[in-house]
Amino acid sequence: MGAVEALYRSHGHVVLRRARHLLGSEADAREALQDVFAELLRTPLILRAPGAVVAWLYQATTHLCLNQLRNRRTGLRLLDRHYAPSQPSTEGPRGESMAAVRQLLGRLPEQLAAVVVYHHLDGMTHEEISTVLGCSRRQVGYLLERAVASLQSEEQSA
Amino acid sequence: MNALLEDVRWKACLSAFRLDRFRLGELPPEEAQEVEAHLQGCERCRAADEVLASAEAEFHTSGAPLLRLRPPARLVVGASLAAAGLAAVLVVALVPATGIRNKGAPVSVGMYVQHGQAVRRALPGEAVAPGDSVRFSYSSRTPAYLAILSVDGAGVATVYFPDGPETVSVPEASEAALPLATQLDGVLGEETVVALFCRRSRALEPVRQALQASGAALPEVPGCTLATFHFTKRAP
Repeated sequence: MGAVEALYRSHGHVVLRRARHLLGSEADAREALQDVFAELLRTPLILRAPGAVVAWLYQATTHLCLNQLRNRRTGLRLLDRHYAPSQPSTEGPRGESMAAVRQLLGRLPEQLAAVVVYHHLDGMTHEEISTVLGCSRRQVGYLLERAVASLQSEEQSA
Repeated sequence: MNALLEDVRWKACLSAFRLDRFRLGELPPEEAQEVEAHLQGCERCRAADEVLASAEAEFHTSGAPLLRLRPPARLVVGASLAAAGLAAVLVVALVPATGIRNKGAPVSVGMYVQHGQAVRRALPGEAVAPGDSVRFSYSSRTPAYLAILSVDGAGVATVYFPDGPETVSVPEASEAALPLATQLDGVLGEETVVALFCRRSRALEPVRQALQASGAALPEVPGCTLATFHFTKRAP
């Protein structure tokens, strides 16, 4: 527990920053922060690999936030409402584009959505993404091509 | 779609991932030097790095969100809290260890109190309020089997730590925070906290019963050293 708390103090800002960007909601980002570190309590082995902690936190945060985006979409569909941001955007001029990207990410299969997040929002190279996902660089390139094609298709059908 | 992604894409040459790893000391030395050299010559990456630095500073200075921990079994929650749906939520503040060792004693126990959003390290005799969350720390020059019990203002003894029937093994430490936080119930008066540092694991129920029977006079517990801490619970 002490090691997790120490990691929370030193690395928590990375999770919170990315969750805010991915979710566009302070309350949801703080929930994601709790969930990521709760998950870390269940997988403490990562603490023994100090060179891989940031990669693990990126992956866990991305996974949780994409789930959240999908759940929002499902919830809104159940309520028979059109998607709209739950609160006014405070993200400046890029806010509207980011809100639209969140909608689209919520519709993609997780692996495709994840590579879009890593490559376009985090600026990660194919090699960095392959490290985080544990796959080859060629596979990352293939996933990105599929993701962009799926996004275009989703955008046209929206 | 391309325009949309272009609008939101990361604008620096070094990825956020690489900058985070650099800032958190995860990169091998030669890679860290490369990043450092690149930052000196690239304005866009410097700006991106400043955004990350600013988020980190905000996390530390404006009060990091509180990390929730599992509530212990003894939790007593007032009706108003339960009605508000807050019963399941216990929070514990992440307070850095002070690094102060009590040179006069081989073992000691300390306490942190969260009142609203404010967290303070409690002094002996500290006044606290029902609903405050408390968390204990310990110092011990040797590894030990530890438990934290208390006798409240009504003379009732309970176990604060651990959330189990026996003492638990803890390493030698100075001001190490224990993992469970507890929200205080509504019983007012002086409460005596007793930390039990034992050479071997011990069942806690007999100790709790002995503590409750002895009241303010602490019982002898063979093979264990006791450290105490007092606080007073007052209505706000």
